[in-house]
Amino acid sequence: MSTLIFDPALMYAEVTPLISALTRRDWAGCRTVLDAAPATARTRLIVLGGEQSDLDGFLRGVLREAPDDGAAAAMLGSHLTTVAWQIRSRKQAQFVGRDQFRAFHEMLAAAEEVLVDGAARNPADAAMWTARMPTARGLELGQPEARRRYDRLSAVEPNHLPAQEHLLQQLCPKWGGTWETAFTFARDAMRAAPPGSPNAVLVAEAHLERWVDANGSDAYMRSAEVIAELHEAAQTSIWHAGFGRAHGWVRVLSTFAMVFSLADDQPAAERVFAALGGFATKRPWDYLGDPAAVVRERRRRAGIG
Amino acid sequence: MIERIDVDGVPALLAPGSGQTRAGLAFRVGFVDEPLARRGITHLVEHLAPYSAGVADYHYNGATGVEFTLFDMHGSDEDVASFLSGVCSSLLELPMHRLAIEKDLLRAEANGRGARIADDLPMWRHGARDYGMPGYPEWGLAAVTEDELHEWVARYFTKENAVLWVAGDHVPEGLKLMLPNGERRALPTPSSALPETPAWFTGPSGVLVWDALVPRGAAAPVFADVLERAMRREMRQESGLSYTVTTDYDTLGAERAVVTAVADALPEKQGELVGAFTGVLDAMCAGRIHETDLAAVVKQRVEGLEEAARRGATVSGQALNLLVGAPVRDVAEMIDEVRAVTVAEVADVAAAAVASGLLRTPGTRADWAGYAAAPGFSDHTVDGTSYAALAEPRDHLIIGADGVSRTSSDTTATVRFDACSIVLAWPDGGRQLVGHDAMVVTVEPTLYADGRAAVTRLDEHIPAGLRVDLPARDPDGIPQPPAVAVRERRAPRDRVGAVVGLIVLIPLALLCAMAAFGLLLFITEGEDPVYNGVLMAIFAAGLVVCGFAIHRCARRVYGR
Repeated sequence: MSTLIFDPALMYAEVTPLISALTRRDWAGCRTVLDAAPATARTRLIVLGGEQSDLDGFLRGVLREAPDDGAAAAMLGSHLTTVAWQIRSRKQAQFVGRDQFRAFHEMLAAAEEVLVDGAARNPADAAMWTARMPTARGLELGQPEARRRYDRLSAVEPNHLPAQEHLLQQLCPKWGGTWETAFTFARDAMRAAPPGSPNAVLVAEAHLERWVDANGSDAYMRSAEVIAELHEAAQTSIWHAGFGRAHGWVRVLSTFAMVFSLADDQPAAERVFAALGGFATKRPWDYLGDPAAVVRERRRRAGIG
Repeated sequence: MIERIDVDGVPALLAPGSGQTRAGLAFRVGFVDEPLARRGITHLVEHLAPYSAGVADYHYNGATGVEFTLFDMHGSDEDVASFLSGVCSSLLELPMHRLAIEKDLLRAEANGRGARIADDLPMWRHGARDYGMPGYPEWGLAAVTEDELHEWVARYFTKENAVLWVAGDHVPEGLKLMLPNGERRALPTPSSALPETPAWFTGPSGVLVWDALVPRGAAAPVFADVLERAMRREMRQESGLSYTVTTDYDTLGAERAVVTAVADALPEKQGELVGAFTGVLDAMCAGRIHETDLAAVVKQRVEGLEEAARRGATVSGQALNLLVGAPVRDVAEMIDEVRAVTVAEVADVAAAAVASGLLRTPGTRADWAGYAAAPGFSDHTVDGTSYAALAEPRDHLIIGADGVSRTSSDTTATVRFDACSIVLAWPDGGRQLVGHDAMVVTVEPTLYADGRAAVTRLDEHIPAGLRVDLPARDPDGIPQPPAVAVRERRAPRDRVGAVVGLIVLIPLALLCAMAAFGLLLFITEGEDPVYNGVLMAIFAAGLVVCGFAIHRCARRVYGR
């Protein structure tokens, strides 16, 4: 059996220099990595950087020196948001205690404060607006405000998948949306992106959300309609000749692998697993349990050892 | 050049103008000086004064504002002189025979005026005192007496508290400003009803309103105009969120100014207003100000000043500056100042504006944007006698020696008598108290157990000078709790019917009883026992029916 690789540092060359620069508190080094990255990669790297622990003091220090540094504000906001969601845990709302909720909201409010100022200074920063999507969701600012943030972003950076993933979450019923708006958004985003772009993964994610909502019903994912749409989405993205291995590609393929596996479309799943090689991401596999065990089992079912 | 002169002891500004002579007389008195219980008294004086000047045909104007009261006129020298001289002489001797009529006219004027969109911001910011007054109706009109009018005129309409301005090359011949002596009345210090700013509260849906206190100066009105351009671009042109976006600028005393902004949205998009508007403001605060916006605004303002100077329209504003101790400026100076405004200065004003802002949202929250909730409830209740609400016995009205509270399970409103601005009183017993902090407690005797007693107790404690008695309300306007209302309102009419019923029914019942008893004797002795028996049964039935009806009438009469 081949080894599974979940470490993003082994998938994307920019990760190691970014994390090591962060670790030695070298902001100029971080900026060198971030400034060289295309928009989507930059946003994902800022989120990834923000997942490192104890960044608050360091990044606030950076902002004191350079209040207009959008990357620092976005990373600090993203960091505080990550901490907030760790407090809340991934449980559904009814299982979260009152004190936990208060701490969650306080931390999100702190993140939002940083991001409000950051967005005022850097209105064209896609990572900033992306970071403001989960704060809007957690603070329950409603659909119109979330939409407004996405619209501000898409005016400067259309087809920005990291933000689209957040908006899709917001548009799902669990955050006050409807399936109709969620699917319409996912399909529109798929069609708006140039062929070979990863954005069609939103359609797969929408189906995955619907499947979760249906208590993981096999029947939902195995319907002919759903399978047909998953194929259409794969054709315009991961199976398109123009699909490149840009930052985030492993997550995109992992999502397709999971939906095809759930749909019991093993040939399609096999094709995606083969393209992934040994790479995998925890999300969305953690929906099914321990990602490593789940991926091994699903690969086996698809006929890949 | 503005020339400073003196006319009959009144300071005066003379500046060149074109065409007919324009002149005005301004006094340093306005809404901010009025206690709420006499709100409207200045407007009443302003209406009474020009009446005796006998100037119905002339182009004159009177206006009562927040800080000033103005009389102005344009026409021939003779007309201007006679109008302003006439205003002064009638201030000395107000035509009191017109008092009732002018009060009615003012009430009609208020009815026709309708509410303006940002009316409630001064109240939320300053409470029911001084700078909070512009948001309140002229509630004091009903209570204003002749003596009070004399006192008001003697205090505020004096030589020292007035300024004359003339747009022309000379003071009109024959102008006599015969005013009493007094003193310059300083503006009150603005009260605050906001423990912290920036603050927010919720208002009607579909519109966002905001205001802020900023330092006065050339950059402040420029900021207001640049803000409007930025709002129009981002909220209207780029995102299609708002149709109406406006800003306004007004001076507040010698050193400060108020900037107001309004933006609307469709109901389904109003959830975007707070984010969009605060985003525009925050960007300006961070120094993101378009040079082109600034240049366009400066150009517009300079052109406006030049045009106003040609018409001689800037001197009136300078006259008001003189009244509050702000510097009197020439147009050339003002133009230079506007031209010198920089992006950094506008950003500084934006920062002051953000920090002092008061935001009225269309029902959405603004805490996430860094705004504190403006207090909408009191934090304490008074000690006193408690009266339970009929509709919801957990809700109470508390009347104490210190004040009045209304409590429900989650809110409290308290007005203390030592911090009370007005008590409105209706003949039906309804009372409405407004506290200095703008908190309102309404006392409706119909809504509480023992409500009449509550009102009697309240009336004993109302401090002198605060009670304003109003005419009877439309009966439909008097609130009633659903179940109790029907019973109480129907009771008087029903009771009359019930008493009449008793008067008729009791003798009838006696008659039936006597007849039935008489026939009972006849059954045994009479010739036709069957006939007598049937007759007796009929009277007995009548007695039962009467008895039942008497019982019902009696219940209604005694109210059970």
